[in-house]
Amino acid sequence: MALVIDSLRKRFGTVQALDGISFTAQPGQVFGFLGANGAGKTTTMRIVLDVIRADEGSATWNGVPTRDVPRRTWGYLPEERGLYPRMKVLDQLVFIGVLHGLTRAEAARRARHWLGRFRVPHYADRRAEELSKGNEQKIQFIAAVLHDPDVLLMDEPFTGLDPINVALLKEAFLELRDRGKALVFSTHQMEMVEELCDAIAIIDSGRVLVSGPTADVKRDSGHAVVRLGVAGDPDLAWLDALPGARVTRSGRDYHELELRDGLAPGWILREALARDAQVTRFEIAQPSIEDIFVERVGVTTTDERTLAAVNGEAVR
Amino acid sequence: MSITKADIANIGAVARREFVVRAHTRTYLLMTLVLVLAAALTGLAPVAIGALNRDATNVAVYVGAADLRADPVATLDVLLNPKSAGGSASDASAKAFTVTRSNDLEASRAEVADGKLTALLDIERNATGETVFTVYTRERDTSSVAAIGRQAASSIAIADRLAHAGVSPQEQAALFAAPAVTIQSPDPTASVGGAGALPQQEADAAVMFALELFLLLAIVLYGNWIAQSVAEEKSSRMMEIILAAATPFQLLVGKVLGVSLAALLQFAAVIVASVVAILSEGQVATLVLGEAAGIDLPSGLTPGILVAFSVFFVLGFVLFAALYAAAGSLVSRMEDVTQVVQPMTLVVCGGYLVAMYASIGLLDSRAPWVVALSWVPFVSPYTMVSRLAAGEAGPLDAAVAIALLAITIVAAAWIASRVYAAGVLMYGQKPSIGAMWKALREGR
Repeated sequence: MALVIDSLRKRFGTVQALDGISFTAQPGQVFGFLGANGAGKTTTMRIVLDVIRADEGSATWNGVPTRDVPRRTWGYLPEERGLYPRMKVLDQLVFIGVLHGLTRAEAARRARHWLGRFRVPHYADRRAEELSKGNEQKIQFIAAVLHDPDVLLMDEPFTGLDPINVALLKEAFLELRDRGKALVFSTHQMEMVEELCDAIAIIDSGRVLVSGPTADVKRDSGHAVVRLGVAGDPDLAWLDALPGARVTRSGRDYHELELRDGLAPGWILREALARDAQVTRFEIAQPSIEDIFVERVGVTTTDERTLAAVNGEAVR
Repeated sequence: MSITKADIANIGAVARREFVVRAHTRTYLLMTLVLVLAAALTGLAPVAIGALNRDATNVAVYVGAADLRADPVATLDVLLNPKSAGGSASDASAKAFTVTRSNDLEASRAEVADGKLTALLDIERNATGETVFTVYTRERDTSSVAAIGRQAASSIAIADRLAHAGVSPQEQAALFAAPAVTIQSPDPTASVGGAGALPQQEADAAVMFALELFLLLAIVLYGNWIAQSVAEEKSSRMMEIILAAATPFQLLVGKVLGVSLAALLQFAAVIVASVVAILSEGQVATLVLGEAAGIDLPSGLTPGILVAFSVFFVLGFVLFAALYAAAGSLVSRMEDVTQVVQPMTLVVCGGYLVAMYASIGLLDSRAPWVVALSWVPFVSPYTMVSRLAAGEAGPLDAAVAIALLAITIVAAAWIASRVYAAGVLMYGQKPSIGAMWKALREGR
């Protein structure tokens, strides 16, 4: 039972959009799909939905190729999303629900339920063009979940929502997860990933840089993060002399350090005590997803620029 | 591709939405109303023509000449109201012109100026004893009133001279009796018809013209609407959401069906309105024109022609609808729709014009290329129907043209669904042959 993406490759003209994408999303889990713009997230989702076909590789749900799985298995919230501007909200939801195999009455009942849940029951008879961007997005989310799909694929579901709506959407996410649905979403908002994702994949230029359960990704990043605070010594100038430690963030009363591979956090504590420092804070932390993302995606981008220059190609 | 139950359900849902959205627009309701009225009016054209002709035009004669040995009122009456073979023109109510004698030249001239009289013929005698005529009218001197005035003047002058020379009125009547003249078509099988044939033919032609024009309007208007509806889904990005729920094939077929249904409903309303109008012509004519008016059913519009036209209408419409949908899928902005549908609009207008020109005689309807065009699928709904209506093509010709049209629809649907499948995902490209070719290769 899982959505398994295996070595997907897809080329559009001269652009290699996907260059061997693989990852696995489990039911009852939230899967975060991270990547810079143009990394291949939308193309991957479109292949899963059989809107386009991959050149190579496979996408399977419970071992069945996704193109042979009934369409009502999928709920999709695309990044470039819209509604019929002049159609009433309820009519649009019923239309999409019926396309997914619901009866008109059932689709209308569920649509009203979700509108109520998102605190906008009065939008049922409004036309889509009258709604704000954020409210339109809630309607689009409802359109994706109305038929109670087993897998939800969502491209940037939180963008443009105010904090109250973000909270409503998160709540819906967690409820769907607890009911055993597989949720896959892409985002640029790293705090959402930290908060919601059981597993992640970071992709760039059509390749997976790192993937797996969020905790494993953090642990395997190879860096330990230490937060150190010393009374009467706000600058911790002596750290500059230590080759294995690098200050990544300077707070008011503590500093965040990243230790070179293989160095144990205890070592930095010993160094501090050796200098008779009055340690007020010592905390071993994991790197944030944001740090990992910036580090991994940033590195490859630099690599590619270097390679391109070596090959004599124009660098854009 | 085999059609599954899910296909049918989704096609139904898409068709339903298209139909409901279309049928609720003010444009649709207004256009239906206008078309139904227009159809009823064209159906009643013979009555209207009859009613217009019934309104007699008044002409007066003033005789200032002494000893005029002719009856100017009777002469004018005969010239202005020629007896037709059926003799219905002798009926007072059907006369086009009323001729009266005037006793006051100045008063009658004032009436001409006011428009109460169309013309006043003033007959005087000059110093040498010859009759001199003046026609007072507001019409141009090339008008039929002026021409008939000249003709009447010469007849009256001759009658006057003959009477003065001693020829009796009876001898004159024999001399000037009208010879029998028959107007005959060169085609031995076709007849021009008897009394009242002219307005009747005009009515037949008007109904045929109206039907053909309606097909043109339906294809261009609804075709554009389909293309716009596809482009709107793309530009509003609704397409992304729908594509996750329905296949491009389901979307294309549903869209074409939904819009076709709206168009055909309108067509049915128009057909019903014109048939009712034509069938009730007799009663309406009796009401408007009085007991004497006898108007026949349009002879050129047989049930067979109507059935053939309906088949061509449905097939022609569906063919173009599929192509318009494919064209609409190639653009990402509403503004580009007009440009991308142009080729289809040109073809459909071309077919319409050829058929119209052939049926009104501007083109030779027997010219080989016109005959050949009546088989060509994209224009046969016009060209074959006009040849059928003219009696130049038989049921076999129609059957072959319909078969060719049906084959073309299958081919066009296949191409359209491929273009559509790829086209709906293409953004930011200029609509071009290249884009279409790319869509055709990538679609499935």
